[in-house]
This record gives sequence, structure tokens and C-alpha cells, in this order.
Amino acid sequence: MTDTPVTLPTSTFQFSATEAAKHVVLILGALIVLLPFYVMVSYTLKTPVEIMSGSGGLFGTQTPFTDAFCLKAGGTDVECTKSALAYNFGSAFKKAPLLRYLLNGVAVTAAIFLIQVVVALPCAYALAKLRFWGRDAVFSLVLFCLLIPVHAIALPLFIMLAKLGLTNSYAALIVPWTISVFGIFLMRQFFMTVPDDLIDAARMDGMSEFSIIWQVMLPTAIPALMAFAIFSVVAHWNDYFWPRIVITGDKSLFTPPLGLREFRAGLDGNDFGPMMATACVIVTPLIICFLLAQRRFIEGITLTGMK
Amino acid sequence: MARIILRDIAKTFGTTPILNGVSLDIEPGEFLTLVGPSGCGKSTLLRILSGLEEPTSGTVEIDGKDVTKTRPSLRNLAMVFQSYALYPHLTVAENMLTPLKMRDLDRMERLPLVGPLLSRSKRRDLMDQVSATANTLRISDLLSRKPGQLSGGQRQRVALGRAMVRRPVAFLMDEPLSNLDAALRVHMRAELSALHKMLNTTFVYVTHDQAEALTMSSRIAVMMGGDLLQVGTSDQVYSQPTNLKVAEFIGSPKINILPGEVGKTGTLTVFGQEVGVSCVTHGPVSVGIRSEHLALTSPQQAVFSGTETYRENLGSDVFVHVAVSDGQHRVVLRLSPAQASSIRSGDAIHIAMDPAHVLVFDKHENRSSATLARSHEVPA
Repeated sequence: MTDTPVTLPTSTFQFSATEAAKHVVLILGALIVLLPFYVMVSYTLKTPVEIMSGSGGLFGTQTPFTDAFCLKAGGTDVECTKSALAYNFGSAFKKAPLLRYLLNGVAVTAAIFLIQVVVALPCAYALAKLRFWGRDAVFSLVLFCLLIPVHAIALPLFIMLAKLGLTNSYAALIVPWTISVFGIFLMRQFFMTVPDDLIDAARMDGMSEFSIIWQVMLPTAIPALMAFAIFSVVAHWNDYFWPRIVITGDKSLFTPPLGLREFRAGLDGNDFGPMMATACVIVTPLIICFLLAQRRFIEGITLTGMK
Repeated sequence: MARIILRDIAKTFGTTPILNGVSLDIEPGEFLTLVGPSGCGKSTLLRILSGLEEPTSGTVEIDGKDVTKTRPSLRNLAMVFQSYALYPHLTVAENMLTPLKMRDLDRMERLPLVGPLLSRSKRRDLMDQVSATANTLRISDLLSRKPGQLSGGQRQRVALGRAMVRRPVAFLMDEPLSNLDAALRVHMRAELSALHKMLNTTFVYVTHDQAEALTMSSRIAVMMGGDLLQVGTSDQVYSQPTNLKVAEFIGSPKINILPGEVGKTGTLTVFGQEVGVSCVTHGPVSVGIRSEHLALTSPQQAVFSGTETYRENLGSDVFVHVAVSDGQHRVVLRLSPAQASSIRSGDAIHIAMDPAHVLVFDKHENRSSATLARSHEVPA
């Protein structure tokens, strides 16, 4: 046994007004951000009557109700009586081909992201690591392009696509986004931090410049690429503006956000329950992706073992 | 083993000259060290030799072949970098395998999924080479780890291993030990020398640390300000420097430089005292003498005297820093601990110079020949 006196654990809790104030502000901010999500989730659990009357609390009463449209369409009482959850999600998938929209969304965002990477990595590598005449001028152009809002060039882009006969196609959804100035900028900034020695070592090993990009720079840039993926995927998965412009007729090309329009106000009033169910279905993949990427993020930052 | 010949290599970045026409013959199998203060162009010279940088003018020859325009990988050289430059996402084995794969497998065989199926026996062969090298360097147990999980010394070995697997005609090393701690650095010096003996390959080694240069090299090339000042063995560079700058750069503690004067008759005087050396030049000169060639003596025989300002005790030797009584110069004496303990602080210290080791530099900082004066000649 040691002779050192045993100190009894004392309570370390101390009330601090500034700490409390900080937490109050943060909690308020979190509530404001979470409120729309709360409404969204809550509505998917409620019957149309509960939504309209604002009753039922967070989860609704969960009493089965009878769908009037279903009865009109000739269903029996038993067939048309169901829980709010089943009704909302059921009509979300039945009334609009939501699965098709989700697949479109996945295909479009994945294609955009892949092509963006294929374009941005070599550009960023050249801007960060190669010496050529006019490099700085090119980089200032990249920075300048960051300042141009998409909406300013939407009309010329649309006209170009229309002249090429590409509206109402996957190409119209993908092609305008394939060169991401933001991606080039972000990856260039990351590549600047990669030591030149690593590239020289790869050159000594006999790699071509393209092999260096894909076999050396790409794996070391995973953390930066993840950050870029989050920005790119979120932006194009949630994009309502551009698909709304270039997809004018063909519903089979709709992306998920366009799918929400199926439930907007019509003659029979707003159908908020299924609409919110659709919204839930649209945001879930994003939230899952983000949580997965967040873990990779932290791993990626600790991966850099150069020195 | 390769003979490397650099001819009139010049390099300018923009308008800044980095190398002003350097010529250097590197003998097959020698350990040549490029040494100089930072910014002297030694790394640039190595990069030109490796092919990573193109010279503004001049040619690089390896084994009689002009490779000035050849790509780095085709020169069959291997380079070890200061930061080791291991691929952080690959294991040690994959790191060492990369140069072999790039050299021995064709484009199809390097494809991710199909490749291993097409080239199974080749890959097994390459893996055998990797494990053989890993055995020599005693890193076999590290093969499945990633560089991030290794210590500095281990990374150093892996970097050496990656260079060794391809059996290059020469190894180029750019300050490979400067990221290691002092003890490990001394240890790795010995290992590098042993490795050089074992591989019997040409080593070109760049460092700013003159101790590393003196301990390992068969020859040292001292560079300064983009010029090659002297090429010679450690002994030559240390005891027969051709230039004042070389004399000052090589050796620790730094060589003592004192003002001298060569009279009409050619006798050298320092602080008005004859040293016992005859010179061919006339006029004011700089006199260099290393700390071990200064000795304590009696007041009558002293060339100059001074007082102690500071002493560094290294255990085996004591470096005594002395302020010369002219008030402007300082010298360092290397004494044995017994001699040093006889000096009390505040005492006047009387110092003699060993005339056989006096180095005389003219006003252009070039070495001028000095011979022992008749009275000091050692009887045969």
C-alpha cells in the first residue's frame, strides 16, 4: 500500500452562468433546425384529419381510419381501413413512382460525382504540382468561376441544351455539372499540402503522371474527396431548380425532389401526409450517407502518416 | 555499379542561378557525399542526376550513356528522400513492391482485378524479391503494416528497402537521416556504410551535416553558392582544404582563422610573431589552424595569448574557447581533460601553433602553399 492520502472524489459540478447561456443558445438553435424535421416525421404518422385539425401530438393517435378515396374507387371497408403510417407511405409509393425517382436520383448524382472527380483531380493536380506557363492565370480563372451563380447561366445553358436536342434526357441533368470549379479548387488546396517528395518518389518508381494522380494522389486525398462528395451529392440530390427546368415532360426522368410536386395542392386539397412520407424517403439516404462518410472523415484525417 | 559523369551542369530558376557549371566524376562503387550549407545547390544537383529536374545546360552520363533527356525511371537509379516519401495508403510490402511492379509488369498485368490473375508467377517472384530485401534490412515483421504505424527509424529502413529492391545502378540519398533523432542517426550512419559495403553500389549522398559526410564517404564534394569547391577524401578535405570556405565548413569545432602577414622574405607572422612557416605569397593572409593543433606552452614560446571565455566538456576532450588578447579574435583549443584542469579561469593562456598544420589562405581565399621554415624542419 502506498502512503499517499486517498482523496475522496468531490463533486466537480459547478454552475456557471456563461456555460448555461451557451447551452441555451445552442439548444434553441438546434430546435430551430430540427423543427421542420419534426413536422415532417410527425405528419407521416398522422391521418389527414389529424393533420388538418392539428391534433394527435407527435405520433398521432394511431387509430386506423377509413380512406374516402379508396371507398369511392370501390374498395370494401376492410380494404380501406388502415393506419396513418401505412396510408401515407403506401400512397407515396403508389401515387408517384417514387422508386423510379429514387433510382434516377442515384444514377444522376453518382454520374455527376464520378465525372466531377475524373475532371477535377487531374485539373487540381496540374494546378497544384506541375509547372507550366500561365498556371496562376488559370487558377485565378478557377477562383473567378466560383463567383458565378448557377442561376445566372441557367438560361444560356438551357438554350444550348435545347439546340442540341438534349432536354428531357439524363444528359441534360448530368452534363452541365460535370466540371465542378469548387471541386477543382478544393482538391487543389488539398494537393498543395501533399509533399513533393511523394510525387518525386512515384516518378522514380516509374509511374506516369496519370498513374500518379489515380494511384498516389487519389488515395491520399480520400478525406478531401469525402468532403467534396458530401457537397456534391447533397447539392445534386436535393436540386429542384435544374431538373425542373430541363425535365419538362417525361415523368420517368424525374428526380426525387420533383416527385414532391405530385402531392402539391390540387382540386382535392393538399395531401400532406404522403408528401411528408415522400420527403422522409428522399432525405433518409442522404442522412445515412452522411453518417457513414462522417466516420470515414475522421479516419481519413488520422490517416496522413507522411512524416 | 555505375560511373556517373556530370559535365558543366548549370541550372537557373527564372533568373536565379542555382548551379554554375558543375562537373563531377563519380567512380563506380564509391560513396560520394555532396555537402554544403543549405541553398548551395546540392539537392538540385542530385535531382538533375536523378532526372527529376532538367539542367539548363550540361550533360549527365551514366555508364557512358548520355541520359540528360531520359526519364527518371529509365535511368535505373533509386532515391531515398528526407521525408521518406512512402505511399501512406499502402502497406510496407506494397510500398516496396511498387517500383518492381512498375518495371516488370506490363499495363495489362498491373490492372487491379485482372492483373493478379494474368501474372501470378511473376507476382510471386516479385514478392520473393521483396521479402529477401526485407530480410536483409530486418523489416520482415513490418511488411503488413502501413507507414503511419511505423517509427522514424523503421520508415527509414522501409524507404531504403524500396530503393534496394529494384537493384539500381546507383542510390541517391537526399538528407535521409535528418528526420531521425541524434542517437539513431549515428547508428544509421554505421548501417548505411555497412550497406554500401555489402551492396557494392555507387552511393550519392546529399547532406548539410559535415559530420555525416566525414564519417561515411569515400569522397566528399564540398559545394557552396552553386559551385563545387573541392572534391576529395575525408582526410584531404579536412586537413588539406583548398579554399578558406571549405576549411571553415568542414570540421567541428570550426577551424580557427587568424590574421597573418607574409614578409618580403616569405616568413609568416601571426600577431607579429614568427610561426615557423615560409610562404610564396606576400602581404596579408588568413591563417587557419584546427583546434587540435593549438597547444599550451610557456610565455616565451607562445605565438599569442588570451583568456578563457567558455569551455565545452565532451568527456574525452575539452574544447576551451579563448579570447585572444588583441581583443578581436577568438580561438578554440582541443585539450585533454588533464590539460584543461590545469587552466584556471582568469589565467592568461599561452598558445603555440603546430607549424606543420598551419594552413595559409591568400586574399582570394585560396590556399597558398606553405612550407616549414628551415629552423622548424624535423630532422630526418
